[in-house]
Amino acid sequence: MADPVSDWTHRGGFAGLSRRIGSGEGLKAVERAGLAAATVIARRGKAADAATALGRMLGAPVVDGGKRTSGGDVTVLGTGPGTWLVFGDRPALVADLTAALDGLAAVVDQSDANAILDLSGPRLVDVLEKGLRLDLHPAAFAADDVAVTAIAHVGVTLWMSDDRATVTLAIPRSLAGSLLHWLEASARPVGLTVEAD
Amino acid sequence: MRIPCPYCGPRDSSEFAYHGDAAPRRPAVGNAAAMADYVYLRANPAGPMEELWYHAQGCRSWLVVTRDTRDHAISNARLAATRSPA
Repeated sequence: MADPVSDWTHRGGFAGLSRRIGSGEGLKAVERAGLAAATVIARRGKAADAATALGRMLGAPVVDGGKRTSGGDVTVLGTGPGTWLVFGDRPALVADLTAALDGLAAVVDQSDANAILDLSGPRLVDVLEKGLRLDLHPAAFAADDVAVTAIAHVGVTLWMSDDRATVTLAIPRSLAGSLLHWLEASARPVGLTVEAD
Repeated sequence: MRIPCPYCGPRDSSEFAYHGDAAPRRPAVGNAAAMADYVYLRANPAGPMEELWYHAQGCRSWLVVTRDTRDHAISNARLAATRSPA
């Protein structure tokens, strides 16, 4: 008999929501599905030690601040004092974090909690500024900066690629439809393509 | 109004929830007069005052913000967690 749990397949938050609005040229939104994720919250007084341990795991220094650090297939995002959101393209991410942060931090599996969207295109900033109350100019937002904020009342964790060409949004997956509603309305004049499973 | 969150940087005040005066500290149990002051009495100054704001849609930190009640000018914001315990 088939195992009722291990036979489940991953379904991204934007699954079934692919669409093309207008020319489809101004903004491209591609879902990044299937990533493992976890929140890391340092125990009292252990934020610096937890950052050091995360840095050792990544092979790159991690700070206690709103910064993105990538190492191998793992990305660490600072989301609050002593708090990080970690994404990784490996099934053992949570187990690896738990082992690396033993006694230093609480690690909670968030693998199915988020819907993640990579946004790119010639009108990226023009569309984002309709809902994002952040200055994304290079003078104000560095390529390795992370922001936790809200777009159209949807809480988002936002970061960008090193070349600043792609802005990634992680949102609660149950709000994927709400965010897409805002994105459709905001990108309609310039055209939008959404690619999801 | 923008609030300079020490973790997130300057953010729109709509991301924050307002709590009120940061000055009152819970008194020891048994002192009814002090407890009444703690619960009900507020100074309501015209000028700079320290207030508690919660960055609900950001880093989820409690902040102590020094805001001038006459013109909303914010001269300081720090993490409430860095305060000395009551």
